[in-house]
Amino acid sequence: MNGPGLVAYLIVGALLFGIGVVGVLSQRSALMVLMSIEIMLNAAILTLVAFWRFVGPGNFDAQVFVIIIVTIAAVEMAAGLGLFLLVFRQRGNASIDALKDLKR
Amino acid sequence: MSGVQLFWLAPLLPLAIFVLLAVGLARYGRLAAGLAVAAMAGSTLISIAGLVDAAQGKHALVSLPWLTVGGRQLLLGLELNALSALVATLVSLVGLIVFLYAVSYMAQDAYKGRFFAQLSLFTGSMLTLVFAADLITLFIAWELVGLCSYLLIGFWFERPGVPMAASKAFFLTRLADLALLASVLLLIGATGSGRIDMVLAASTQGKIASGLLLAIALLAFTGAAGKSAQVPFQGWLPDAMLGPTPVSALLHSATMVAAGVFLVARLYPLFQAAGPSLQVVAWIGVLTSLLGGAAALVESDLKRTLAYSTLSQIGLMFVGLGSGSLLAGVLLLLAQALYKATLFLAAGAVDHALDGTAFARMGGLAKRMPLTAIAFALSAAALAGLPVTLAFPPKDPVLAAAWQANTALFIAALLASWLTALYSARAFGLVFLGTSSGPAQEAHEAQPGLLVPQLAMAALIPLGLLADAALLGSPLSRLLGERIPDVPLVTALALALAVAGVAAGLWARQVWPRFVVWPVLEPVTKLFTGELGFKTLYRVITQLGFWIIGWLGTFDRVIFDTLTRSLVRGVLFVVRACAGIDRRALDAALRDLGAGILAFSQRVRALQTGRIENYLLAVFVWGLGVIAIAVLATIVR
Repeated sequence: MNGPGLVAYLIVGALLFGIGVVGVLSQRSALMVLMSIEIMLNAAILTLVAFWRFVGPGNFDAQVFVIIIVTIAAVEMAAGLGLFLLVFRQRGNASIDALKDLKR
Repeated sequence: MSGVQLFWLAPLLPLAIFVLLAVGLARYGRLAAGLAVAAMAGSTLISIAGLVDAAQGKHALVSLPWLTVGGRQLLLGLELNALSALVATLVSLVGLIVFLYAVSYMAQDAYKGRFFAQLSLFTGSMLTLVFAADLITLFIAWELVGLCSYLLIGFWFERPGVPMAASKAFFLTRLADLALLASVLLLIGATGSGRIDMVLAASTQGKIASGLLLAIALLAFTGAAGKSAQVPFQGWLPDAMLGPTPVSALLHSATMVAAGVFLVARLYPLFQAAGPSLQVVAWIGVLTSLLGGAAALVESDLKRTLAYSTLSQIGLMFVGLGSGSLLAGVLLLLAQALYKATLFLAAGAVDHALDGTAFARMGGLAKRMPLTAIAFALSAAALAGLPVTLAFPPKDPVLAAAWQANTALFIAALLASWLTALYSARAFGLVFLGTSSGPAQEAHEAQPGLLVPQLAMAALIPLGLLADAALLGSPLSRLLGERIPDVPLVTALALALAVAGVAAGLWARQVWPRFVVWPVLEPVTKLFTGELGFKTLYRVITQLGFWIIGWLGTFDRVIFDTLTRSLVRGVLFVVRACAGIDRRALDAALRDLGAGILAFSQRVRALQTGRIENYLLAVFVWGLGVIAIAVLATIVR
């Protein structure tokens, strides 16, 4: 069992998640927000896989979970892209800042 | 049909018709007239049936409780007895004929329905008065009769002088009614019962102190004098001539003025028990009789002459009653009703033919209106005291009773009786004899509708006198409690005086052909037409009345208005205070609550920026918070 340990994987996962969070909160472009969400999902996947590898290698529950998350990510991306494509068509841009209709 | 069982319908039928007409049927004049006449015919039949039963000594009473005052139950009741049946038959019979006459007389009047409604109420009230079993019913009917006479005298209220005449009749009789009310209340208070038979029993058995009894009798007679227009209340009767002639015919014969005589006759035992009250009745009667006779002699209007003659005849009735003979007074009442009604119906026909009742327009009408002349002559002869039938002239019993009572009274009554003969002959002569002039030349006989009723009434005079004679030996005479006073010497004297009076009256007309009588007596004429200074008395009374009314008005304004005004002010103050509390406290609370919620919402609203980043940040912060709490909870555990 050589190479980096569980803590190292967790640190990388936390960093990735933090990057994602900052991206979601700070990016204006809808595409970039979707990408950041993708990064956060991947951080979660990395953490799950790390826990499977180091805590319970005989139990494949985590792998099933990972596959579901990947599926959800794909679906989410498809829906999100479709949504923002429509918004872009309607308004001419896809800036998150412009979407304040709920305030009215 | 049994009179004993149904007699109470006699007053109720006309009263019911009045109610029907009053609620709207009066609009249909012909229907109203038909209904009124039909009801009167029913009343007449029932009254006659009642008279037949009463003549056989039967007696009936219906009553319903009205109210209980201080443990005393007051009843409203009707009673059938000999006197009431006799007078009711007269009232309904005369009423029926007058109603039939009025159908023609008022045919052109726009307010025929109202006329018949009031006429029905008039006769209905009079029948109630006649049948009254207790003093309360009697008083109510008494007041209704007074009210109706006011309404009917004032029927043509848009004509000049009519409202004044109606008000005069109303006020003068009302003044007298106060005395009657006092006597009724005193009687109920003294005996504890309103039933007339009980009251009479109590007074004859000496259960009422003699002083009180005298006061009661005099008060009751004051009421009767007001209704029957005796001195000093006589002023309203001549002015009442301004009403339609059928009203005069009814008012002077069987309904209004007869009520006073009927009251004294009804309470006769009380008067007999009350010491000198009957002498007061007799002297007031003879005074009115002389006054009325003298005034009739110098009057220049036919209807007013007849009115004064009513005064003198009613006065003679009171002489009969006051001399101690109930039967004499009642018989004269019956006879007078018949011939006075006929005289008025004939006068109405003349009025229709000539459009006026002043003697100056008349003369020689016997040729133009022969049938009316016959009716008038027959009744005027009866009025004068001539034996128009095989029976006695109706004034004889009165004179005989006066002869037996008091010589001075007898002489005065004889003089009054002679005056009667004089003025009836004069009136007949001025209207029907001599030469025609002016409108009298174009006069025509009255239409059948006016002629038939007066001829029917005239035919009743000999029949009525015959009936009087026939009844003398009958149970009815015994029921009225006495034998007829009969003094042959008096009869002869009265007859001689009547003939002399008629001759003198006709002769006077020949000597002074036109209506002016005895120019030498001009001052006396003025005295009588001025009603012997009674007009001043009336004016003083009226002024006194107005003064009292004005004082009451001031009292009302000062005391009651102030009271009500302060009461209203207090209520207003409370209401305003309540309104202030409502506005300042309740409304403000609700308003502030709403404003607070709105302001809070405005603040909270700022949180909703609409920026997705902010929401996401909140979600992350919340997530971090949850994790921090979970971590803390783990550590603490």
